Amino acid sequence: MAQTNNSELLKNPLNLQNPITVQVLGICSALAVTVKLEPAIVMAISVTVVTALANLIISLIRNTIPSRIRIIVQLMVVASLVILVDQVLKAFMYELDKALSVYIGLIITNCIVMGRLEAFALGNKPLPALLDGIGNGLGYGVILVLVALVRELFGTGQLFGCQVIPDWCYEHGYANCGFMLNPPMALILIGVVIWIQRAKFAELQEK
Amino acid sequence: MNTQSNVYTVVYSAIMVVVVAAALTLVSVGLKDRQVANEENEKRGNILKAAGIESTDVAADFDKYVIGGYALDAEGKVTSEDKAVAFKADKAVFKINKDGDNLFVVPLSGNGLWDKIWGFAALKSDFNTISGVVFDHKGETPGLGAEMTNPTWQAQFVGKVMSENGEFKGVKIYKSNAATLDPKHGVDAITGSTMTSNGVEAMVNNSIKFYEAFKNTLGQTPAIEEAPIKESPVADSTNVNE
Repeated sequence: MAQTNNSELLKNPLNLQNPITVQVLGICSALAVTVKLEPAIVMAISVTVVTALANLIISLIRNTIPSRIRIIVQLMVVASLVILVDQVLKAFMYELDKALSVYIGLIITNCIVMGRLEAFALGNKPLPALLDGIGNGLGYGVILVLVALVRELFGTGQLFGCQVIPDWCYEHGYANCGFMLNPPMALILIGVVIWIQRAKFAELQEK
Repeated sequence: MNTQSNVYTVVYSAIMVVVVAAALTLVSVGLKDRQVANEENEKRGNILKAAGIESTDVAADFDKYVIGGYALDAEGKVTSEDKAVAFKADKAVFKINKDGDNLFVVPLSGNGLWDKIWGFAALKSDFNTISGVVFDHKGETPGLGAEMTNPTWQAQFVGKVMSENGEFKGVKIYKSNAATLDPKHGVDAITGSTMTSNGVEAMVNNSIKFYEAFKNTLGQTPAIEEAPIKESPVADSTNVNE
């Protein structure tokens, strides 16, 4: 990994190294917050901020961390960043913070964050670590937004809470798919994304 | 330096804790005002919502519709008639003027199955008939007890009569068919949430009963007001559902 150049650090997690579809990390929150587009975007930004800053901070202090307590140190950095994000959301986006409820707090346990700290930030310089954090956060966010887009559009006929599917569709027998709003549909949609991605990129297929 | 030694590890964690604690304290103190303002606006919004007023500019509408506030002490005596003082008080009555009608909104608080539940109830000018409620909860089971926030369920409380002939009866939770069995007091429980439903019943009754003394100071007796109340639930139910 040390050889990869900076732009690849940003781009790889969006596709070939995607944390959700390839590494299958961070699934639980992806299922929970993708009913609507707006909370999904806020969640994506929150996770990106946390992974980026956590990666940067851990990489900056990586040579000073006593290896016996490194997981504790990592957890502490992540936990404080998450509390910070939560506080900022409570102050500036109160309604959305309520909608996301426990899931902001649960970023602490998001495997993507700890995974990137252990696998990348501990062994790399600050700039690549920061880019890797941003990349992975965005990779997570892309899938979140994609799934939320499909779920909100077909589940409620709305996007960002505004009606997009016109009335005449309903008059001609179209109906919103209530199943889209249930968590199993998020799992199925992520499965479909994984399927399409592997069908397109042969190197992802396992023998 | 030996980063593996015990002393280094202990000192390292100590410094880390202090730095992190300081950073979080700073953020918490710095954002406190905004967060409190948000919570207060949510409270204002809920008071208006209980009275059936859907608001986009909560602060302005609160000033416009709420024409009076009374803060009460633990014995139910009015300690202040200042709206701002009432807003901060645990026990308070808000007088609302909605399209010429006077409504009284009182805060509710009680216990659900897992944690606290709370809300607001709007009473008509007789201080005896519910014109709307808003409930919220901290930790009721999603899909079961948490359905107490469902507007359709809350709409059942509209038109329920608290006191009859001077006797406080409040609302009563029924397994089903409350509307036919006991149209004046009965409310259907939430399926699968007996404990939360009972908690809501106790919350509504205990909280509103507390204001009986306040009601008497208004100089209205329930017996006089009773006759017109019977008709009003039907007429008013549309307002609250919007």
